[in-house]
Amino acid sequence: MNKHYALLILIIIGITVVTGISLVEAQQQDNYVKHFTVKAFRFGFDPERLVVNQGDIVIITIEAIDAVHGFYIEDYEIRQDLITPGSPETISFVADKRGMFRIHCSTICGSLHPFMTAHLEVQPNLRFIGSILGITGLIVSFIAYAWMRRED
Amino acid sequence: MKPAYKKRDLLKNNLIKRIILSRNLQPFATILAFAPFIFVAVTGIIGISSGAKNFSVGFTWILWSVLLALLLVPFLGRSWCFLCPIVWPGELIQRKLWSKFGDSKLMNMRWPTVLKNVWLQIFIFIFFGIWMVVLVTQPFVTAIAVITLITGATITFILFPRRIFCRYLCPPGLFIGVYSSYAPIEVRVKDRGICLTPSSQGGCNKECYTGSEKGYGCPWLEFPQNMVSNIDCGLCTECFKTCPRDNIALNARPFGVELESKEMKMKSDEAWRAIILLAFPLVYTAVLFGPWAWIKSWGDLLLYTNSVGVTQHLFYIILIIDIVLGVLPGLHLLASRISILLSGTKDISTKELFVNYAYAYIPLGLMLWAGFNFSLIMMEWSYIPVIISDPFGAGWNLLGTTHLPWIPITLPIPIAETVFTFSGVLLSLKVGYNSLNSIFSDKKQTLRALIPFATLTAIIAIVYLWFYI
Repeated sequence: MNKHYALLILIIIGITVVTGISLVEAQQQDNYVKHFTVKAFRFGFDPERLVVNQGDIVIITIEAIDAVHGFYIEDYEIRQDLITPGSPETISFVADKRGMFRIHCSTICGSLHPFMTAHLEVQPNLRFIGSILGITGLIVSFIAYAWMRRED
Repeated sequence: MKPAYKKRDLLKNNLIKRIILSRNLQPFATILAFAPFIFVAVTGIIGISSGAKNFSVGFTWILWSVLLALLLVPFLGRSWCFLCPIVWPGELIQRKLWSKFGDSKLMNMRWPTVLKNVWLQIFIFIFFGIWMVVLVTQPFVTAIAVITLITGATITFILFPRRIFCRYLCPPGLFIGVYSSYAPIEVRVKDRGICLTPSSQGGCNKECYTGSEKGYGCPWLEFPQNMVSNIDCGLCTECFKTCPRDNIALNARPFGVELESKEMKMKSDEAWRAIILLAFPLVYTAVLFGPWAWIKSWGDLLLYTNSVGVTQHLFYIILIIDIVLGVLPGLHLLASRISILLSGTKDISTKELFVNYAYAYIPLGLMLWAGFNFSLIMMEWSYIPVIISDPFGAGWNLLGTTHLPWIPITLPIPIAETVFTFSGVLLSLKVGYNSLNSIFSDKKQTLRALIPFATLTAIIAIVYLWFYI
């Protein structure tokens, strides 16, 4: 077998092993209560990425810094509108869905309001890991198909 | 001669033919499109400054851009150019007023040969792209952009013949043109042999280019008998009207076949265009949908009143230019070099491979643009009833929807983004493989050469998906 193909196969095996190990490790973690204090300001959130594990109880206290803001998490459909400066709001939920979910400001707060975002990542992010594997698989399959296909 | 791919002439349908040949169709469609864009300019200047409540921003950057990227360009190519309102005043002056003065030098200036490529158009697109943060959020800036485009187009139409503006300057045209090559529709001659027949032997007088009493010569400076690509065909329908031999077809064809056709002429500036346009949905996604507030504020020129802010903004400009003109083209150049090494050939230059393979990124770019716009419309659709009910943000409630809350539809986004990205990767590989197959004689060489490009395609797709799933 050509050494290039051997290398390609080794890379694919490597990706599969690393992904498998990370998945097993993620599953072995216990559930925790995760508490975040998120500052909402024009036009972003601090911290900009919240990382939790699936099953965690997530408590988020949102403080509006400079204007009236809102807090909305995609897919979880958790929404808190009209958070005023000086009056923090707290939301809580169980992070039962895996993946990356964008957080948006849900109260118009200025010009860049529609793009005021942050990320909530609930690990293990199988959607993303699956996509990496899927794209790799798609490319390998395409090359294999092209290799085996008889040219007219 | 057997055509390179399956096609069906839509003009065989009498109703479609009658509509296409009608002289009233284009002015009617253009006026319909012109009215909202004038309203965009008016609301942008005198309406509320909040983009989310102003017709100007909502119409242009939610409705129009989504319509272009999700429907018009992928399915109907340059159909927007057919009804484009930006050029309407200029074209009206050129056709109705200037035609009375004959061949005046003022209105027939020669476009410089050095600019007969898309580089100037690329730089104008990048110029607009750099200020996207203010452009897509500030009604006043959107209005100024629309007015600038209409004024620029009108001046160009006054000074230069035909649609020089559309071919070499129009920033939306950069996007529309290159991705129209993927669309399942084309204007082509039915039988090139008829075009090549000398007029002394019953052939035509090239009315498709020169014009006749039935229509104008090709405004896009295309010569239909030599046309093998949609990129510079504005679907203006003039050649249907002027051809005395009824030799022009409006073909339906499979998606993307043009990019796999051996007739396609690969050009260096077009290759750069494809790579730069692939970079922009990544940049837009990272800046607008990414979690980093600093990059949004650095990109918002209007926020700054001090030297620190201006320095940050300059850094932001350099960063965007680096990614668009440096990082992605650089990675593609690296992939081209590795591809040559893996294939083991010495007959092909890195530049040739760089140019040829760049066209394979067109389907991926189109899918990423579609994905970006899909996410945009799903998140922001509920602003549309609000701005229609109260276009100036003046407290009107024309439709009773002014106080509609923000209602995002988030569920389909991850699924749609995955489908768009995977489709883009697969279609790009298909085009890329066929492109390499026509360069390399041996299948082994072709597949080895494909590996670096496929790896780069995967990296781009994974980086894009990181923002959505």
